[in-house]
Amino acid sequence: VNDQLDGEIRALLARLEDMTPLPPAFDELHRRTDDVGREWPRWRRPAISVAAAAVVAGGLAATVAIIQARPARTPSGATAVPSTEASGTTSAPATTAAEPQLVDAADAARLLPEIVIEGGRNEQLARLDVGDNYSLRLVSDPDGPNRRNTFCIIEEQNGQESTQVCGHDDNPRTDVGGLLEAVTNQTVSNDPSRGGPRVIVLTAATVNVAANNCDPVTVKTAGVALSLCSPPRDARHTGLTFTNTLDGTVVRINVSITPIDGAGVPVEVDAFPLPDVFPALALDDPRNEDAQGFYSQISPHNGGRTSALIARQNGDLLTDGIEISAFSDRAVDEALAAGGSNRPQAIHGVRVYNMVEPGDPALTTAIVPGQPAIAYRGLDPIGFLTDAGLDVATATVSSDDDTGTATVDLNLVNVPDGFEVIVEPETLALGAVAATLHLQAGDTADGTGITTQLASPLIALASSGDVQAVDINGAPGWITAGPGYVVTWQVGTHTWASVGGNATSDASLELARAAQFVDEASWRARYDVDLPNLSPVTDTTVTGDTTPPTIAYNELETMVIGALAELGLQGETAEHSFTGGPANIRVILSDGTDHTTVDATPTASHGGEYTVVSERIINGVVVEHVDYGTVDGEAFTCRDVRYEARGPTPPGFTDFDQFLSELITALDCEQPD
Amino acid sequence: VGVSDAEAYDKYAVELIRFAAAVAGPSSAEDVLASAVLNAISSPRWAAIENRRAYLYRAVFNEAVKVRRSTERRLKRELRAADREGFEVSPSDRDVIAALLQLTVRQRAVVHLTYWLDLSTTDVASATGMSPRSVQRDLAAARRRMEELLT
Repeated sequence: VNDQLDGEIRALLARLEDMTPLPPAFDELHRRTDDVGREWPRWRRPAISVAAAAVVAGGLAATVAIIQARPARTPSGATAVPSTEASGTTSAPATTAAEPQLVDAADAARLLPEIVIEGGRNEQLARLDVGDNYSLRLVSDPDGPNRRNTFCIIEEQNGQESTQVCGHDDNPRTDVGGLLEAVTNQTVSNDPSRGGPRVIVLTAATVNVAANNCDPVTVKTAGVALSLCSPPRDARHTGLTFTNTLDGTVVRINVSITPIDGAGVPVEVDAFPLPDVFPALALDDPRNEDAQGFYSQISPHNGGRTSALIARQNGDLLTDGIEISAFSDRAVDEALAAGGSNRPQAIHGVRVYNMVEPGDPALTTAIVPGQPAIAYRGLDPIGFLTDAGLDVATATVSSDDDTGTATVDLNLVNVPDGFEVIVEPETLALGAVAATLHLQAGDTADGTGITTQLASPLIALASSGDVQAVDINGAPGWITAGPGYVVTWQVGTHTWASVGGNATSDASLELARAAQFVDEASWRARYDVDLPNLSPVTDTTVTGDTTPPTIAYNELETMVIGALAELGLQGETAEHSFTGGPANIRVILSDGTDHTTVDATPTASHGGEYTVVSERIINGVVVEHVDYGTVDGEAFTCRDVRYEARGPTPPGFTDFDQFLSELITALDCEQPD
Repeated sequence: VGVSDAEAYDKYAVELIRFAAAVAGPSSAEDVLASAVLNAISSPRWAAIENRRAYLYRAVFNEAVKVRRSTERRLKRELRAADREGFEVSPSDRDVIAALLQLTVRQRAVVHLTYWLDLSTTDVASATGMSPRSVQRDLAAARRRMEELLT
């Protein structure tokens, strides 16, 4: 048996040799090590080095392909695409961006089997610069609706945003549908808690040219700047910037891997709030072999936030958990825009904002306006507030002029019968840093790990589903019931640990019970942890009125609201607006429980999959009855803008077609017969 | 960086890249090799190194360990790529990558050095900087995992 095994191992190694490329020439070694990854903090190293985007001219569609910098190699070691690199030269850092190069779309798909993006909310994840006048930015959660698990690729020419395409990793039909479907259909999100860092894996970034009716010709590509390290919002201070081209010439144009404060001055890590203890495994634990420690940062940009958890405790089960939060920095509309669709609802005579986040289970956040507004999040916060009333909690925000930060006091004054305060109000420290020990040994693709952080994960976990009490080496802990089986327990005065990413509860519990906790120095030494690149802490506190602010409308919003006003209807923005963006206007109906919406989107950026159920002519304009699967509506196009209206017939109109007829006229879209 | 460095590299480059492919995967081999060699010849100790071959092996091994997480990702990515149209990865190549994924970086190194270069436990320990006992333990563990996979 041993001889047979030995023979098979040798045969396997022989096959491996067939797959091994020839070594690069000695003179090429320097060039290779200028490549992406060399100077990156190890835990943030990208799995790919170039993103390229294809922008198809014509204004009807933008197609995106994300390709790998390093040409994929065939088994024989041959380069997958023709390379123009000159061998035997050593490139020196340059300051000029590379010229754009063209690559066939099919090659683009082959070049990049995968891009891994690590980042949190509203972060610029990547920037690609071509010369001085053209750039592409890959952004998570930009200023648009449904921020959760959204990414957009924004094209800029001569400083102007000319194209923006977005996709949702959990609901590819929502925004751009077929445009990025080939990408988003295979996108996996690892975002177990709201707002935390996540990993988006885009695989098989192919361009579905047939579905998008565009020519499979060329993909503009050139340099890319990937700033996966907690990038500041200001593009000028992108943490890490690389320029790359398909020929493999990589020029590092700006590198900053040390933490900086708000003025850009390097600071030590301990300038940021750190956990009391750091995660580790016993020295003889074999999982240490592939363990990797890294820092991550929570909420560097937000203002103060205080959260608590109330739930029913039935034996060793926590059920009906509700997360109650007050924010110092968010107006109601901003909070609304951070979640999924929202629908105002009257509860006890107060108009409560109601957001449903996409996902399973669908979580709802109800926001009670006030100073500050208070958010209730869980599986059924509307039912909870209806039963319990709106005075469960009160909150105050006080500003500290010396530090420029704010304190949010949350008081649970009327917890209803049957509920208990499980986690007392706790304030998440601004810019707090979490520590993770990542293990490849997990049952899931991204492995498993142990994290310590300054906020209790139980608040988010128990408001997303039932959790069960468990014992972690004598300490009380909790475990979720769903995949991932997240275990959390307190390990320090202000520190909680969590374990997740396992396929079974037993696996999570075993790892939790095997976890050890050490000081930062020991953790860094044991796992060779690099210093992180931390974002400067920015407190965006507003201490005044946090009810919806006056919003400057964009062009389309102004047009639609104006047209509705001509019909005697008062329109208001349903989502946060931004210049050059679409309009999502709603008309709140009588009792505030329902509304009619009118959306206006430039045809160039309109996407989504829908079925045209029927067509009719109204005022000379073709009006389509369209079905998106979950919602339907009436759509028409006028002067490169696509309008969609849906919902109940507004008061004063005999039917929806009469409303549409007058709306078409008010928009000056009427066509002669 | 002198002529002798280039000569030393040229002398061992082929076997080193095989070793790099074994521990880090074929697609990472060039990067691992390049970083390892440049680290080695940039070291103040380089000029005094007598056994440059062993030193370079250790440099490659250390570099592969350093990038172990991205190594795993690359290997998994290669496997996934094999499933997609346009990638010419044969079933046997797929098996090779799958086998590599069964082993830790250290186990891959020990297997390669033992089975491909026929090094003794002592020499494997010297090439990797591990203790002989660790080499034996890793080799035994690797054989168990390979047996599960191959037989």
